[in-house]
Amino acid sequence: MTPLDFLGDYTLRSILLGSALLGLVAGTLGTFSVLRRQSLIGDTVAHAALPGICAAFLLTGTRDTLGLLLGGGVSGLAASLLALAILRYSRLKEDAALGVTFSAFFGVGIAMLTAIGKGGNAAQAGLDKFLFGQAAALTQGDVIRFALLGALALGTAALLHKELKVTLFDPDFARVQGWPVPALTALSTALTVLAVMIGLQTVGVVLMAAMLIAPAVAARQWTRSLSGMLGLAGALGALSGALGAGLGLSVSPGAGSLPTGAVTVLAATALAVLSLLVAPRRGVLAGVVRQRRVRARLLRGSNSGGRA
Amino acid sequence: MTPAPLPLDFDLVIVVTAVFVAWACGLLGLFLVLRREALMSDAISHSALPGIVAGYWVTGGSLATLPALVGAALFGLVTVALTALLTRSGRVKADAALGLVFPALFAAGVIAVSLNYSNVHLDLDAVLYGEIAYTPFRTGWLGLPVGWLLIGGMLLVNALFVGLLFKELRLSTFDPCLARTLGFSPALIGGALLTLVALTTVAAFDAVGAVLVVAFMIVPPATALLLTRRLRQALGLTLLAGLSASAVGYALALALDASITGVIAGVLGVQFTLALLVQAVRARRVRGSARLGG
Repeated sequence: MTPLDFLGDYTLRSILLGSALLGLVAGTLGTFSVLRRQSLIGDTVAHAALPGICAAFLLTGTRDTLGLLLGGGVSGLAASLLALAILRYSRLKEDAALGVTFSAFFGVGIAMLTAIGKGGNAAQAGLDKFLFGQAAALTQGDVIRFALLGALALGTAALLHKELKVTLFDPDFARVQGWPVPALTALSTALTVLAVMIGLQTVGVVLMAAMLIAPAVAARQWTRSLSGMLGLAGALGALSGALGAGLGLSVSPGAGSLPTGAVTVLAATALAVLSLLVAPRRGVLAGVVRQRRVRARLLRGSNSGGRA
Repeated sequence: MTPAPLPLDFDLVIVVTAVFVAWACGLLGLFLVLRREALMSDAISHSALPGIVAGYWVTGGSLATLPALVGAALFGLVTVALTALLTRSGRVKADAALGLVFPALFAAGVIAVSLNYSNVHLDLDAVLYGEIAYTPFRTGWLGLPVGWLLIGGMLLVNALFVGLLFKELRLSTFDPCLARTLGFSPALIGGALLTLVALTTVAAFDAVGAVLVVAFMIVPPATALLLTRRLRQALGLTLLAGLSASAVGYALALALDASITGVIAGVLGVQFTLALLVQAVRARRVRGSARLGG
């Protein structure tokens, strides 16, 4: 299949564009959570969306995507704010705060899912698609919605760039400046929730975590500035999305026999590992070379010192 | 696995299985939470998938439990090792390292399933959710439920580990430098702990699924640590929380006709919330009396 086929075919174009958009948004916004050492908040939000998705289904009785995503977004946001509250009001650390909220929320979600299943409603079958994601089912409408949500999330981040940056690196200074630090933290978490909601449908609950983390880890290797990292992470995320969808679809044009979400995640991980190895200055190889050089110089120095 | 006539009460088998899992997980989970490695249990539960597929492949497609468990445990250890490798390179923080490793392994597992076994019923759902309601129907040695033997064995091993190495665990968790100075390796003890976490996760998979394993590893210890700062008391509270959530959760699940594991996890969440409120009230009282004193 040639690249032209992709752009010409309606279905393939939607899948490719949708995956790339997801990568762009998740990669950019994931930078904040990785730098805040809350990388796994994406995992938490993705799991915690389940009860909201079930509740939305029970309320509306349909499998309308927007309603389900809205419900998922609300419960994902509630869980992430709860995790932030636990961090603030107890001695527990990030890992425990995130772990407690997502396992409790996900447990309730599973209970609701089984209860719905026993109701014998045929539409329920589609609900668990949200757990594993299905890029092959993306339509042009989804892509447009992704673009709108993504623009909203990225636009907010761009608008509040300075405030978010200072809150991230120097919260004490931000507090002295009189900025609402907890509100800003909550806002950047809410943006992450938006990114997760975009990704849930494409790559699923478990794999969503990777789309927030891997591009940011890769980007960190190449740059020392926040804006550079944000841009690069977005670009690498988009590249992983396009690669994943492209590879997945070309290996199996039957649409869906090779899960594009999983291929996307592996592409993002491969980019991260490659960056860790070969990036100049911070890369593992660069480190080895540097160490060799220093050792050689020290040896030379001690030899000449002995002769003198 | 013939459905032999069961000499044991149905409800009892399920609740005791849940309590065994709760205790086996809680004993290790308390130290995981204290070492800030709580999410390791979640990671292992996901990255075990390629191991399960590999076990399935090696045995030529029979859905035997043992090879799948061995494969899953191996991949649990791979997760631990890769995360440690990434973290120790100094280029990635521990949380991001974990978040890099387990989705990649899970993705590899998903691809392996869909390429080779898309027509076979290798049930992803069963791996993730488990079905504790089936434990009474699967009996093994002495007519005891298989779940009891497997998880009871793991509980015994974990209890011995924590009991015999309590001092060492405590010291290497709270003061790894002193531990090293005193001549025992905190890395070795940490590695042994994570190995047991991997084995316990996998052993409990089959009976209760990943959701409940992760919930039991993290939530009761976190609840206990909200209520006390003493390690022994925290251990006792962890076991108590697991026991009560299993019993209450099972009764509630029957009443609601919903997933047993899901409801138990929900009850654990409620317990945690109550403990958080108690702690908040206590903190306010302390602050209030400090203000009076000042």
